[in-house]
This record gives sequence, C-alpha cells and structure tokens, in this order.
Amino acid sequence: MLPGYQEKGDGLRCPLSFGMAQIILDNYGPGKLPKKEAPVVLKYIIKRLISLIPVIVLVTILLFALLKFMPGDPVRMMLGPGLKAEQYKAAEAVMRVKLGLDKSYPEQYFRWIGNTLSGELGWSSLSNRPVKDAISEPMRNTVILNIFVIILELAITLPVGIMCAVKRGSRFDNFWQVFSLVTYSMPSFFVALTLIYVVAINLQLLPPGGMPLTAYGKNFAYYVSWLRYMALPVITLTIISLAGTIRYVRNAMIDALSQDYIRTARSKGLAEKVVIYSHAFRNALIPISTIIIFSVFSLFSGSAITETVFAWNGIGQVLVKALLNRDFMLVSAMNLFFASLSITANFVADITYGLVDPRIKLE
Amino acid sequence: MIKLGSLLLVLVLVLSLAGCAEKTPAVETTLVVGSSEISGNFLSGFGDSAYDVWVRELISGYETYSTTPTGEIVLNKTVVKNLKTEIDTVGNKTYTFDLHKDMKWNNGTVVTAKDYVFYILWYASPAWTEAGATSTVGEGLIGYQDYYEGEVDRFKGVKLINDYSFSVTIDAEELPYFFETNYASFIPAPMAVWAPGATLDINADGAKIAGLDLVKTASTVATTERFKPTVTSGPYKFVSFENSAVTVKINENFKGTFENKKPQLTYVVIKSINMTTDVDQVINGEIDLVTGVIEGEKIEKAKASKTTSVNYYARNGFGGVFMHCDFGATAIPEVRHALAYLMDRDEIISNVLGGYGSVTNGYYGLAQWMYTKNKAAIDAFPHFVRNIAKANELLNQTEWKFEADGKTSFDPAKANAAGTYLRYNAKKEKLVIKHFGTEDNTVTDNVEIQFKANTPLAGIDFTIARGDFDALLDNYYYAYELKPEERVYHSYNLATNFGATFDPYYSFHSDFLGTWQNANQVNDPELDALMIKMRSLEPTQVTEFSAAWLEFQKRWYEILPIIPLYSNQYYDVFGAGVKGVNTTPFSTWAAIICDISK
Repeated sequence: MLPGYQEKGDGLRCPLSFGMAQIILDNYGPGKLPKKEAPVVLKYIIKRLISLIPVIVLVTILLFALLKFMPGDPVRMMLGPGLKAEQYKAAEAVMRVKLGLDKSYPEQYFRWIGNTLSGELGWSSLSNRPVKDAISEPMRNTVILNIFVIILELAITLPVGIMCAVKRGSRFDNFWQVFSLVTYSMPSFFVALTLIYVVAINLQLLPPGGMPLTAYGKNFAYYVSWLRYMALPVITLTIISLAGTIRYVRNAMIDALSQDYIRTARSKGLAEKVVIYSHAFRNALIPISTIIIFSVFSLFSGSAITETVFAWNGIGQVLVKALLNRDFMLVSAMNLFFASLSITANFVADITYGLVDPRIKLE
Repeated sequence: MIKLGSLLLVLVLVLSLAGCAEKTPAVETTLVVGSSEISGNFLSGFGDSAYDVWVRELISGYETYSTTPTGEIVLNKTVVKNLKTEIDTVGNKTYTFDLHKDMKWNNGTVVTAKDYVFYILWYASPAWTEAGATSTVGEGLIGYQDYYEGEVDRFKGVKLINDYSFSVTIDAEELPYFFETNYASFIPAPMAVWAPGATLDINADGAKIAGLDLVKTASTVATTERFKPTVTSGPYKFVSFENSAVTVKINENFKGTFENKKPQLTYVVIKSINMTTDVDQVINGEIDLVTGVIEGEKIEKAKASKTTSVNYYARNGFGGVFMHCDFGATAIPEVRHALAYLMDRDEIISNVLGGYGSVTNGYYGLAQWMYTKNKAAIDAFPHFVRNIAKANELLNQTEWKFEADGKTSFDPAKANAAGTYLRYNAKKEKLVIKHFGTEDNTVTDNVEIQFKANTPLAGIDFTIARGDFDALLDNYYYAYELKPEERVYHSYNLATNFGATFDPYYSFHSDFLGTWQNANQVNDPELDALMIKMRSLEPTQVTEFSAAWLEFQKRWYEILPIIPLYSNQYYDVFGAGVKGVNTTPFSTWAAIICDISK
C-alpha cells in the first residue's frame, strides 16, 4: 500500500494528490499498485546508517588534524604571562597532563574519540570547566533564539512563497523577488548593525544587545524581557533567512502548479483555494519538507556573527571565542556535533523524502 | 488568512507588552556595569581577565594591606588592630598581625587568624597548582620555595599564634625591598567551607593544613567555589553568573573598607555587552556604567549627552612598539632609536585617541607619584618626533651603513618612498624590520601607515603581519624558544599597565633572560644595577627610591626596548543618576564600590 493512499471500493483515492492517484490508477489499474514493504525501508535505513560510519570517522580525523595544525598553544593561552618562570613551568606541566597534551597525536585522537563516545566532551581551556558545562547555557540560548527565527521564517516564507507563485509576475511577486535578491546579498552584520543603529540607538525602542538580567529574579517581567533582548537578533536572522526560503517555496509552488493534475483539478471546477492549498501546496510541500527538516536541525547551530554583534550568549559566539583562544576541546566537540547534525539532517531528509513521496524508491 | 491575521495580532500584542515592559523597576538600587566578556573565574589564580578581577574585588575584602586611590599601600586598620615587626639576627623580618574580632564572612560567621593562615597555606600549596591555579601568594617568606615545590609539607614562614593573631616571616634574602609589604598582604579564605574538617597543624617547623586530602579538596574547590563562591569577605556576595552577567548582592555582614566605608547599592550586575555600543547603552539607560573608554568619538558623544556624566584619568601605563633586543636589527640600540624617529606620535594620538592622550618618553605612567615628583627632569628627555635625518644619522652608526654591494656608503639623499634603495651591512645583508600587529586595531593601522611611509626614507625594509592577539602574545613572549633561523618578528604594537608596585626587575633584568618575563630580552648590566638599587631600599626611603627611579628612566631611555607611543586618558561614562564614580588609575570602580550610589 503506497503511503497516503486509501483503498476504496471503486479504486484508489489519494488525499495528497487527486491527479497523482488518477495517473497511477491509469497506469497500473486498480489493486495492482506496487507495494513498498516495511522491510525494504528498514534495510535501506540500516544500509545508510552503516555507510555513515566511515564518513563520520573521516570527519573526526579531518577535524582533529585541522585543530592540531592551528597555530597557538592552548596551555599558554590559559596560563598567560603573570607567573615567575619556574612557577610557570610547573603549572604548564600540570596543565599539559590534565588536557592530555603530553601524549602523541594518535593517542590524543583515540582518547578524544573514546571520551566523546562516553559523553565526556573534555575540558574547556577557555572557561576552565568541562565542555558540557561551558556549552549548556549558550546552547539553550541559541535554541531559544532559533525557535523564534524558524517560526517567524516559516510564518512569512510559506504564505509569501505561495502568493508569489500564484501571482507570478505581479507587483507582489516582483517586490519579493527584489527583496530576496537584496537580502540574499546582504551580510548579516550589515543588517544587524543597521537595526542597532536605527531601532536601538536612534529610536531607543529596543536594547542594542545583551541578555536579560536575572538580578530581579525570574518572574513574568524577566521572561517578557527575553522578548525585548531577542527581538533584534531574531529579526536579523529572519531577514537573512527569508531570501533563499521564499524563492525555494515559490519555485516549488510554480513547479507544482504547472502539473497536469492541477489542470485536471481546475477543469473539474474545484475552487481555486482548494486547487492551491489542497493540491499544489501539498505536493510542493514535499521538497519544502527538506527545508523544514534542516531548519529543525539548525536549531542547535548558532550564528556566530549575529550573536557576537548582539552579545547574545549563544553557541556561535562561544565557538568564535573558543577558536580565538585555541580552546581545542570545545572547538572539536562543537564541530563534531555540528558535523554529526549535518550528516543526520541529510539522512533524515533522504528518508523522509522517500516516505512522503511515493514516486521515490528507497533502495 | 484569518488564522494568519490572528497569529500576527497575538505577536504584536506580545511584542508591545515586551516593549512596554519597563526595565523592571528595581525594588532596591542596582548598578549595571557593561563589560566585554566575563570568563567566570571568580577566585584568584585562574586567569587575569579584568572583568573577573572586578568580581573578585567586589566579593573579597579584609586585606591586611590596601591600595589607596592615589596608589599608596597602607595598613588596613579596619582589619589589623595591631602590627608588630621585628628582625632576627640573620635579617629575617617577622610581621605579627593582631586582628580585630568583629570581622564576619557574608554568612555571619567570624573571620579569624586561621582563615588568613589557611589562605597562605592553600594558595602556596602544590595541590592548588595541581588543581590548575597559578599563584604567588607566600612568595618572599622563608620556606616558600620548598613548600611551593612540595619538598616539604610545612610552610616555615607562617605561624598561627592564636585565634586572632598570626605572623609571617620574610626571608632576609628578599630584603631590603621597597615594596616589602606586598609579602605581607593577604586576605582570608573560608577554611570551614573550602576544607571542612581540616585543621591547622603548627609546630616549630612551620604550619600545614592537616586532616584531609588536600589535592582532592583543592580540585573540588577549583571546580565549585571558583565559579560560585559561596562564603566571601567583601562588600558584596556572589549571587549568580547567568546569561553572561554576574550578579552580586550587598553583604550585610561586611565590616567596612580600610576607610571604614560600607556599600550603598543593593545589587551590582556586571553584564557582557557589545563594546561598540557601550556609550550608547549608557546614554539610553540600558546600563549605568562603562569604564576605560578611549575612543575620541565616544568620549565626545558621552560629554554631549544630557543623560550621562564622565570621570577621566590618565592611564597608568602606555602603548608602544615593543622590540626584541636580542634578535636581528632591533638588537642594536641605534636601530631602536632610529625607529622612534620614524614615527609621528602626535598623529597617533590625534588619529587613534581623538586627542585624548599624551606622549610619554619612558617606562612610566603619568599617574605615578614618581613621575609627578620628577616631571621636570622626565619632560626634559629629548622627545621622539618624526625626523628622517636623525634616523639616518643613527643608522649610519650601525653596521647597516652600506649600499647593496656592502662597500659603498649609504647615501640618505638617494632613499625614496618606493623603498628601492635600502641599507645593507658589509655582509650584504639587508636592514629588515618585521612587525606584528593585531587585526582590527587602529594603532596597528597607524603604525603601519607611518612606518611604511617613513622607513624606506631611512633605507629600512619594513614589513608588517597581522594576526589575533593570542598569536601576537605567543610570538612576543615565547620567541626566545625558537632557533635564530626560525624567528621572524622584531617588533609588536602592545600596551602595558602599571600597578601600585613599580618593580621592573621582573621585566628587564638579565636574571630573566631566556624566559617570557624579560620578553624584550634586555641584557644591560647598567640597567640591571639600577633596578637592583631601586628595589633594594627600605619602604621608608621614598626620596631615594624617587632618585633611583629617575636614573632607571634615563638608562631605559638610552636602551629603549620599547618606543612609547601614547598614554591614553581613560573615560568612565555613567548615567546621570549614578554618584561617586571617582575612579583613579589605581582604583577601579569595583575597588571604590562603597563610594558609589544611585
């Protein structure tokens, strides 16, 4: 049974695409549709998972090598000048052993992998605490920020993209095309600084950056103040992400609207709204689902530039600081995390696409 | 469409709530201070971030010796009821402190002499080093080296006499020392909290912490108290470090500073902000105070604003071109002086500091009492101004006085801006200077512009590389570890600050050649002798110290390991409602927090 199909007495009805079902019915006849069996999908998933292992191993080796080739000594960064020479030597020796830097590179690599797999992400030389502790709060802040960005992004791009496709060539469409081009070519720091200058400094409507204060306790006003401090970074990130996503949605909708089954639906006298939302949009949603999946996974990735400009204590800013201060453990832990997220996102997108679109065979 | 409209309406309502939500009206007074970033190390020994140091200043107190706003080191009579000093037959000097009995920790328990002795034993112990800390507490006392290195488990120079009395003995080898009170300056550490169940074992061989696994305990403290100090002695107590902001609250049990002052603000919050908009945030009321503003444009904005006030003072330090005196061309004093004559320092003060700064001609800060006392003599030093002819004259006294053939004398008239006519020595080696500066730094920009324009006119092949600050420090401090053929850079643009203690021995004495401490790798017997002379005075020999300081400055000027470029004026900008921000080069706002009110 193809997903999304219901067997009815006189043939198949596909809630996803009326036209699609009709075509398949014409080609295969009732009751003769090919069935995707669960074991095939499972086999595919297992095969893909196994194939990811060498990819992840290669990524870890490359990451490790890159970090080791970076100039700078993390122990020197940590200790800094300020001690007498003999005291410095003693402290340096202790710190090297603590960070495992007295071992050979292969030993360091395997130690790092072993620790990571057991949940020990290492010691952050920048903040002098376990990496897990150093990143937990910034990660939380980044996720919160990104949730708002994703909601806002989808709330704007989906309806705008649909309207642009439906009213293709109109002033509405042209405006958003130009808007997309302009914002696509704008660096995020430019948008951020413009907003700070106009909204925060000149109009004094919102703070130019920072995080909400906990000094007065975590009451209703504290949680509301989160919105004040988040507003400008959320707007910045949303503007930057609108450009590509609007065009993607628009193109997917245009593609869907040009299909034969849309013509069939219109010729059957269905209301335009039903044609657009029940037929075209649902089919356009298949490629758009890829964006949604990547957006969900991007919850955890911080925007280094935006977070730095707004002094938002997020994971992007932490990563930049860690790089500048040669905090290798934190950098390697975060980069490994992001690489794994990216690989997983691609994997999930592939599987989801195949499950959602009956035309795709997962083999 | 209706659903979308409803969603948008809700968003607008919530955002307007947020916009209207006043900065939460404080029930009690709160001072919000902007900072760059806070590492979160709130015990000394873990990093020297200025912002972490602010927090330590707020939560630590009851020091035996305090620094006044004018840079004087005085006995803290709020803590010390009576001080006795005596010198034994071999010259060791013992300081015996009798403490007041009414000092309390923030939790209301009494501070005793045990807490001071515990502080010294803890910070000087190898266990604390093993826990990742770095400390010089206890240095100069007899038995320090053996105790610190773990050779013995007792610290000979520390004694607990009774609950409110303890003594420390300074090693005769360290005396006389003009700043000897540094060896006797301590704060208490809460023994009952850091080492519960531990005791102090005192006998004729010294003192030790007994009754616990010190290594394990130190490690625990280094991962707990360091980030969240619970029991502290200062005017404020730690509340939280969250969302890149540290919150401290008034310590009701604080007895008072060395001037018997108590805190007036209920809360102090140090918050990480984007420093580009620091003054703007004070102007629009987001924060109450930012310190150390040096950019002319920002200073002008703060002065022009009706919602802010400013307090300014000369930096106790300077920025300059720091040179290696053991490598390449900069090993020659005449080359270093020549480079000084290839800079227009007034232009730097105008371009970089917007006019808010002044030139210095030696290793001093304008706020130092020694400078004030010897101002006329110091100001009479020949000023370095842009003088190509003078630079050429100096370089002609070096080995680089030839053309490319290594024989024909270099003719300054032929030097050109394109840099096609350069100086060589007899071995046909070019006169090369390679400079390292940080990115996004207007000082680096100006140094580059000036040197690139002027050095070719003196026949110098000048190049500049840029990198981040850590790379600069790495190259500057640790270049001595490289083989001569691996070394690259001759000079760097950096800055340095002085504290109340001025002892350049650790920075320029040949005892520290081949270490990061003497990063310039200065090796001058005359300068060595002057530094020893300066430091080997009794604390009461102020006039002699001042005279020795002047002699040091003269010789330092002759050697010139650093070209002083500028000394800033620091501006502290605060909201109009904030009072008492009388910061000085020796007292940060945190050090004088008890003067500040709102």
